[in-house]
Amino acid sequence: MKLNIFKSDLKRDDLIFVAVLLLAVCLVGFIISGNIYDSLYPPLFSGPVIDVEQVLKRIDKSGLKPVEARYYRVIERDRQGNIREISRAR
Amino acid sequence: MKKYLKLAIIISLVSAGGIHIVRRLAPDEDKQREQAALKRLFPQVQSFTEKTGQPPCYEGYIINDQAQKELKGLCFLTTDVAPEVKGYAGPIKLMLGMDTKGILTGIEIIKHHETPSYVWGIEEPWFKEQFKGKSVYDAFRLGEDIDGISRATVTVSAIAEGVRKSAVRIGRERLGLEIAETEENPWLSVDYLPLIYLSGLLGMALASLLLKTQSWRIVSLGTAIVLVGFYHTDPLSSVNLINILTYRLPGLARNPFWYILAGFAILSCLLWGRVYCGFICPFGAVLELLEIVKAYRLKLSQRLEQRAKYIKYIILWLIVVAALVLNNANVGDYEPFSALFTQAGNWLDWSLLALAIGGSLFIPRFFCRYLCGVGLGLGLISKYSLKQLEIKENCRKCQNCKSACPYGAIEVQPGGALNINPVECIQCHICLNNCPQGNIGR
Repeated sequence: MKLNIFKSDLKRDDLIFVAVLLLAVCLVGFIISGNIYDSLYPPLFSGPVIDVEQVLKRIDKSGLKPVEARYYRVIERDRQGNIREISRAR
Repeated sequence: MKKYLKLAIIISLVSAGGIHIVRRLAPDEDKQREQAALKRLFPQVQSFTEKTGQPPCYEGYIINDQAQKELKGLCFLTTDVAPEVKGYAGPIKLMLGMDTKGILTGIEIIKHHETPSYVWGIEEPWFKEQFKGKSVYDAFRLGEDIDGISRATVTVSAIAEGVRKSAVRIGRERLGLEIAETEENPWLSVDYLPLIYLSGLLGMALASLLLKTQSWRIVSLGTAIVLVGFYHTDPLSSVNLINILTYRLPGLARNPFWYILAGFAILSCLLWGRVYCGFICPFGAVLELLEIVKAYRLKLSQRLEQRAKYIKYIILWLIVVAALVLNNANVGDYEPFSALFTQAGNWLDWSLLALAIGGSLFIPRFFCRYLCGVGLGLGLISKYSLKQLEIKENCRKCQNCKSACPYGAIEVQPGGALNINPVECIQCHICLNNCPQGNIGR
């Protein structure tokens, strides 16, 4: 297989190396550009401060009762959209 | 080379100018964050003054039942009240809310330069919530009344100390509270055990460097993985490099481990070369120990290999320029070792780690050779080292050393002469042991 990259023919090993390196450089570039974006536009705060007592009071007021749950999970989403548990309240 | 240098300077200036304009057009972020923090610390307060008095505070007022203005509490920045307290990378700007009886209504983080991949926990609600309701008379001591975050001890200790010192000063000087003196000698709270281990590791590295023994070097690398990598999780990173350049350093008593490690790395570069990379770096050690697997070794053309090495120059240039323009060293936080040693990271960190490890099965120290900013930074210092490893004049040009060097640090000059590139050489001494005439030395 012959490719004209860097004005030279690449052997198979060179081709594998270029592919792996290119992928690594793209990842590094993506991470650094994300860091630059975060630095330019920082989020005001990472997540809400939740007063669990208030949440429980509101649930009580609304008349909702947990049927099978043993506790309430207070959650937030991180930057990747993953759900993370902040605390639990009985 | 001059052509590339010119191009780099032009791109640096253009990008620096562009980012500077964007930042000038953007509103003052710190001020915005302070205003938002005021509302969160005292949601019931109707009006805040500008920062006034000494130490400076925002005063929060409500209109009471008698329709009179009543002071509800004070908000203040730790950097205004206790500027001497520093975290891992300089001061940590926190805003504290305190009522008139000296009870904290909470803390908010306004700005910090700590490495995000280690300290993400400090912005978690549970961490900030533990300060709420504490009194100026409390100890604010890590492990006693403040819960820490593993692998962010330096930062959390600095936050606790900053909160305690500024709360006490405001309590005394602005609220007239009588608070007993609790100043402590910071050296008394230093954990000396890791320092003893580190001294042993550095001694072993020096001994193996001077005695040129490979077996000791392997032991040194293995110890570094355990001690610097997993136990103390404090390997040198590009963020450290930028923090050194911008003189944003931790307090000496806060992190003596880092000072000894960074001091050793720089001093050994000035004396011999990249001793840190070859003997102490835990990530380099992990990649090097992968060679035990002896997977298929790629045979690269010299031209491609030489060109690929310039990628790390571009990365270092990019992060240094961006960090200086944005005044934020954390833009350089890209190395995958934090994911490995802290077992925390996003999919990008884990992917880069997998690629770095996978690549090293086919090319020795793949990440170090083509992508590591710290290695390049130390390599550039090593260009001026006093006792560089050199190939002597009576070399027979057999190129055994070049074939043996796993890191491609030996280059063939025009005319066939061989030269050890101090920027790439990690002082492993493998070339030295493979020279039949013993023509390599310092």
